Amino acid sequence: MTRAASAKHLSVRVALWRLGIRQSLKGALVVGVLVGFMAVVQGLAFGSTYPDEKSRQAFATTMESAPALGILYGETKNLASSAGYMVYRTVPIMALVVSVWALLTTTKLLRGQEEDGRWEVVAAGSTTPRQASMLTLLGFTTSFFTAFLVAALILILAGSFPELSTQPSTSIFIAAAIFLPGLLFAAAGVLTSQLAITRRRAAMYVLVPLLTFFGLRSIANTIPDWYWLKNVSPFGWSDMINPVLDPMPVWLLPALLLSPLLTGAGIYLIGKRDYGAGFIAEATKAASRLFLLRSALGLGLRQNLSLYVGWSVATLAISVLVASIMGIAAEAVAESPNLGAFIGQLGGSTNDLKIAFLGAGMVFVTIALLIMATASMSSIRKDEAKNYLDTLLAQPVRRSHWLAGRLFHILVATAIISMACVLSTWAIAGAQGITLNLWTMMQIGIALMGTVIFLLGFGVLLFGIAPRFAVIGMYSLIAWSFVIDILGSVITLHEIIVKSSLFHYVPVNAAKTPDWGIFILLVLFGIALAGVGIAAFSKRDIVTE
Amino acid sequence: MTAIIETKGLTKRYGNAAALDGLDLTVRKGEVLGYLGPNGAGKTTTIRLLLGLIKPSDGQALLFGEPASADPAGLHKKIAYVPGETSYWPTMTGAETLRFLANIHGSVDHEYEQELIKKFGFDPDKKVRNYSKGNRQKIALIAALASRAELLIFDEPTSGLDPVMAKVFRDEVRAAKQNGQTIFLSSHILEEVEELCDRVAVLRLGRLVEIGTLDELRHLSALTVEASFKATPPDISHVKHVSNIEIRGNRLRCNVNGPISDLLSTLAKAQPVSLLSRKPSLEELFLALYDEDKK
Repeated sequence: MTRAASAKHLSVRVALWRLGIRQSLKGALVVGVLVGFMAVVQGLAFGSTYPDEKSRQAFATTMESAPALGILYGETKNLASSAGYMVYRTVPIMALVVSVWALLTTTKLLRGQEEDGRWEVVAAGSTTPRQASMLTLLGFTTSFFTAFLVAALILILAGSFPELSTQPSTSIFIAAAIFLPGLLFAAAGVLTSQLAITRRRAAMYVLVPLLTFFGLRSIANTIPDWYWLKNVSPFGWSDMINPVLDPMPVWLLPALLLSPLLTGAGIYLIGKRDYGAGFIAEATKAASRLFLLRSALGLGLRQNLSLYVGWSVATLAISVLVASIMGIAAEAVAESPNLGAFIGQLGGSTNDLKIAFLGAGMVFVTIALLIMATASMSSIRKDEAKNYLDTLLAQPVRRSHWLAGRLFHILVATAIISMACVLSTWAIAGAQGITLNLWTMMQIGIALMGTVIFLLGFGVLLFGIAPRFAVIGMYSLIAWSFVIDILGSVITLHEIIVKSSLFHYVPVNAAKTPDWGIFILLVLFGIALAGVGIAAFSKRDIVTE
Repeated sequence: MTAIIETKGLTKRYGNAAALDGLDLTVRKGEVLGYLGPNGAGKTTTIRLLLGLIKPSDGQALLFGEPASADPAGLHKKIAYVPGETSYWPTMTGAETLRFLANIHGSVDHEYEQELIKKFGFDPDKKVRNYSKGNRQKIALIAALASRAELLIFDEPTSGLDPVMAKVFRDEVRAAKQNGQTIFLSSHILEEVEELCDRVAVLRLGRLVEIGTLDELRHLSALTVEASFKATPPDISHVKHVSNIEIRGNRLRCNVNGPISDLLSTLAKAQPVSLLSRKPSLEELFLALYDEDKK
């Protein structure tokens, strides 16, 4: 090979590697900072709530007797230190977040680009599909490790605080426990991107087992006899690394061994298929199904049905989960006045811990509803960005009617889910002998919609004036609210800052009639913002990608 | 004759750059107007303004005598549009897409739709994601033509179609014209425009530089003269009204804008073997205008 040819090949490789980095680094940095920040805040929250050894031991003893509290978080063991609590609160949830991000990114890079036709240009260049994919993956891997390093660095730096006082090696272990499942699910995404013909399916093929594995881990944490289930779940391996008291690096191995295997299988298959094809065959022809095709709004509903159904199932599952452990959890926590006070503050009831647990659950349900509303708004923006809206608006379709109609769908879907959550909670509580007032619960179901309507109004306003920022603006508001909510449990914040959080307005107390004044204000603000947004949308240019 | 499209000083600016600059244009009822221009001239911007997808920075567009941005949805009942790059929902089949477009447009000639499906050789049972670009384009063409809308707006309608299908399209446009439909055809395929259009408008850098029938445009532009000689062709660079001189071996080609007598006397002295003079094709007209742009 001549020097010139060699240099040319090197530049192609570097270009593809950089392309992979460019398309994943921004997300990686956000994930890295988020993981580090959440872990540190949880650790500091513990230090502030339990300042002395005695209260920490009391808390740890209480938590150990209540394994049910590990259903969403980590094992309820080794919780007498800030680092232990940090692991308990952060590792499983953040491992879930990292895993979802990782699988969405690899499926986007390897199938999404191909689906959109962008990969054809790359594959037609002086490279092969296999080499191009490998180099793009190398770029993703670089971003992934950057995220890991960012998180680890934040943890190491925070570990020097006296409130946390963790060794650098412990911080690295914590970061590893959080990122390791992500590596595995990213690799699974590489494989399913070769199997499925669309990115959506490729992601679903990983997302379903991912949630199943998380569920298995939760069951293992809750039922001692089924502890062995942890051995078959990547999230279980993550728990068992046990970075604080007794690190078990051996549990790093399954993910470290399986990830290259899955990636290798995916890369092998890349060279064995046609461009645009997948190994799981899809019928190219289909019988016509004409339901919901009578109007532009009908189509909007049809295109988003799977999104609504998916979010309904997920939100309902959270609600059912929280309601199911409410009784056991409250009994366990009752023995610890400090923890009781903490849960009481979070759940909006200091008198009744069961109600407080439900209240904390309501916050999770609200988060799910808000994310669903944002995901639906993202679908509206996608219609515009991908030119589908051009197709619609070239027909006799009114902009304002179309947008208002799509918003109506989102509101109805979230309202139904909200009501289903409170009713299921009421029923499950009743089955445990906990009497809740049905009418009050229904009112809470309605009142939860106040924050959703406000957030949607905010999103529509952004969509009307700066469409590219609508979704990121909504996610930012949710993230801001979440951060304020967490910080608020650690330090005393100014009232204005506290009130800027959406969660400040969530009616969390299941035994108390919601504050309808706040609800009406939220709804009025939401409607006003949406009104301005719809008016601006009617007058602005359609902005495509 | 009634104006179906009328623009007055229609302007679209993005920051300081004008994508369309003071367009004055009228398309009369029943006419086929060819809309030409190099890439970035402002053709698609004009169409998006007419459809109300983007808002004018200045001036106005009237469709059927009403402002295009006042009640776009109402006006679109009388319009069918075929974009150059179609965007249909990948999970829907061709049949579902056609039914949906017919439903929301509100008017469709089902018999004609079936006829078009056969003429275009379109298989409506596949999912949109599995269609080639040409087949996706057929969905847009079938939906637009079958709507029998009063105004058909085509933006590069045959991009992706093979020559046989492009001919089907031209036949159907001629049929639409005979039905009295008005057609606004933006195209890069000059043969198509030359064959179908009553008038041609040429856009350059956002400005309308020429509009008229092909004959009118030919009068405005150069005559093409081709001559061959036994020896090297004579030097005609000093001859008045002559431009675009091309010499290849013993052959000479040039354009003449104005009286041809000076050129003829110069050529006659060199004793040409053959001499041909003809009107410029649309392509030559277009390239001449485009060359001016490059200058």
